[in-house]
Amino acid sequence: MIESLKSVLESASRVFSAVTFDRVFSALLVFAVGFALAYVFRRLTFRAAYKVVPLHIAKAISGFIYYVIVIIVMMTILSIFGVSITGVLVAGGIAGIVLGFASQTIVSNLLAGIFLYWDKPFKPGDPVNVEGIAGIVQEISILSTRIQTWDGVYVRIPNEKVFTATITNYARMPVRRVELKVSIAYKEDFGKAKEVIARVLDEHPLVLVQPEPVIFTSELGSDGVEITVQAWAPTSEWITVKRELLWNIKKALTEAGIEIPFPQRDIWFRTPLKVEVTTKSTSKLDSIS
Amino acid sequence: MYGNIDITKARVQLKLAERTLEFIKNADYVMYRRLKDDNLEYECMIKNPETLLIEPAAPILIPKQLTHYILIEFANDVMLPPEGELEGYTLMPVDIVVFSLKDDNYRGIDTFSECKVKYALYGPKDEGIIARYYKSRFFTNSKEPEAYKEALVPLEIVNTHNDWVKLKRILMDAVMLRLYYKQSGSFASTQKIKITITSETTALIDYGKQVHGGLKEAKRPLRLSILMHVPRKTEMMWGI
Repeated sequence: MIESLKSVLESASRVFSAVTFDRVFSALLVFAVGFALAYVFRRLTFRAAYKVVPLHIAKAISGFIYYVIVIIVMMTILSIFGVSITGVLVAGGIAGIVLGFASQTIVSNLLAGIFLYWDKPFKPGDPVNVEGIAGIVQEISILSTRIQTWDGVYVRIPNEKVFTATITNYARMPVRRVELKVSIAYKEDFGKAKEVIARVLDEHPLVLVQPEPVIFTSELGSDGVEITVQAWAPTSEWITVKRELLWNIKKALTEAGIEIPFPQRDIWFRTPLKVEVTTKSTSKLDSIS
Repeated sequence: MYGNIDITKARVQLKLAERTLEFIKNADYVMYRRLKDDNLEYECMIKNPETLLIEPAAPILIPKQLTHYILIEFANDVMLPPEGELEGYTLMPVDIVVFSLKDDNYRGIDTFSECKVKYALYGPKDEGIIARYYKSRFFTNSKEPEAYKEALVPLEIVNTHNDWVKLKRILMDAVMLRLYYKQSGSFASTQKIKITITSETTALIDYGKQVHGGLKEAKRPLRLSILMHVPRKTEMMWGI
């Protein structure tokens, strides 16, 4: 351990003694040219690749090339200042162990924060659900994530927990599906109901044309025929569409004379039912009153 | 009619497609009203306006700005041979903006559409983009757009791919799109749009120059002007 520390200190003193105008200039030049090259190569690779492979693979390939070039650039800069890469890695490892033992929770939150920054499962303003805590992300700091729940409550979650939690980000995708269930009476024509619902979807500006909405019979229920409506909306407008569509469909079905059934039971008796009816005589009632 | 409103008159009433616009002059303000079937949809009091102007705008503002892309799908597909070129036209929807101007400052006071408003996703569900959707046709000859609803889009299609391609739609970026209109008329047009087809599923959209002479360039609503990202071309990566 002492040997490693000695090697790090030697490297550091070598670096400071190696800082000359020429080397700083060379390092800046390598930095600028290297990053420009990395950027250009990433774009060129992406543009060439996305025509022949799926988009996510094209992104992965171009990203890999970018980071390879960035690492080469960083190593070149370090070598300009005479830094031994092995020494830096060893020093980093030792420092990590010391810090880890000294402040395990803080470090694990900190590392989780760094990984969250890298992984980017959400950003401030995103509607999320982090293991049962649902709301809008207010802030992602290096140690914790702050969420304002739907009912306005402030919740601070340590990054360590966020990192290992199941995260649902409702705003990550550009579109989100709205699913509604509507029942019509058994006597009604499904074709007609489907036409009415399709018209409602078509009239709503925020129901997307593509992906196409789907309307189908999903269940022959005890009270009526259940129709499922699946329509896509821009993610930011999902709640508006969800709120408006159901009532619009109800109104349109009622206007078209299509019955929406309420829960009911028809009771059949195996044998004729004997019912005894007693009537009170008017005279008796009169005498009581 | 597009263009300046004569605010020296006590009352100006303009019938567009389904809506009527009213400008009533008072002592130091103009009362603006938008009506549909005699029902008031919107009203605004404008203090000392120097000029009031009605212009077409890129159709991305209704019911609110969700995107800056416009997707025009052709009812008739266009087939092009390798190295093939074709010129033609299509129609796109327009929003209508009423501007109030004073000195060099202008502000949109009302935005509405006389056209059916629909949106669509262009691309996959995880990475695609929301675009204002419109179903039109590819025309080989110039076509008169429906007044206050549509604008003419002159097209130039070039197939650089070494195989036949089928063009079903075009994606345009409102940030680059310019609209021109006839003063005191209802005709509106965009600049020439060049579509360079690069593969069976990809194309590059270029925004050229004005084709029709004698037209005035429409102002761009503030919300469009302040968009940070200003691309010069639009890439169609997820199908043409």
